[in-house]
Amino acid sequence: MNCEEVQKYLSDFVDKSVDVERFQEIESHLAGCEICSDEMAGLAECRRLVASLAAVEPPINFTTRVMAQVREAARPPSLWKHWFFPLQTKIPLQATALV
Amino acid sequence: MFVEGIGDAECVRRVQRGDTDSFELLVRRHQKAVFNLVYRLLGDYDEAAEVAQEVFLSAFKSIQQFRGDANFSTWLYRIGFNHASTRRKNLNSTQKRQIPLEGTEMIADGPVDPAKSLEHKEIQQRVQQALDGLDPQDARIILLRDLQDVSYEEIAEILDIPIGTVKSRLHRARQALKTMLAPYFEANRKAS
Repeated sequence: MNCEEVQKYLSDFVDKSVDVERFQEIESHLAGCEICSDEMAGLAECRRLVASLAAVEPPINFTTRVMAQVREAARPPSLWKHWFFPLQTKIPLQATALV
Repeated sequence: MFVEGIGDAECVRRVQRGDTDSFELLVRRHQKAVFNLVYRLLGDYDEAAEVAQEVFLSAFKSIQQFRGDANFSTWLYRIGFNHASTRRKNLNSTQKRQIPLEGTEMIADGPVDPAKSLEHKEIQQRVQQALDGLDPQDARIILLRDLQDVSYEEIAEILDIPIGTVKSRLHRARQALKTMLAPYFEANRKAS
């Protein structure tokens, strides 16, 4: 494999998601190519740095806040809204009908 | 009744049948992953908290649309990206609040070297800044693969692209990140 071909697969190589034969070809190329080897090391280091980002805890009352909104959303509309909101739309329609 | 041992699929079925309380298990189970994904996309703790809440509320409101042919987490991540994308456009980058340094303590087996701990925190901030500077599409794919360890297959489902495209985009994204972190690598090389 030449450098151009190897570099196409470097990310897969870093993830160990290439097949065995290709893995060995790439490994063999890297052993003798400083440019590709440096490129691979850089990609692997980036992957390691992102993977090592500390997990952040959500706010302590996160679940409580979400569930409060969920339960509100799950509530059926109040009787007041059911009767008075349709009435508010009915009046204008009936008014136009008279005209 | 709150039962920890129920899988996501069964939880969703219960919620779809009107059992709102079962949704709490889904929230508890996935809140950290969703929150972290959104936080790393937005780079702001308070915005991430709001958006992550919106993600779960959206998921609840559209729960009847979830058919169960993908993982629940796949669906959540997709909703998360949509919400984070919208919020990111409106976010003023100068007002970002990053997590307090105390929130990124190293986990160590023995006594912590304060110098190393500070170095670790500085690196974390540098990586976050680099992620903030990436094209959002590149940031998403790196966070899914390298932070959340999501498989190529699941990434393909989340982003609705073929696996081949996942691989090529990931490679491009990592190269972009490497470029953003080049000054850090250079400084490290000079120091060693």
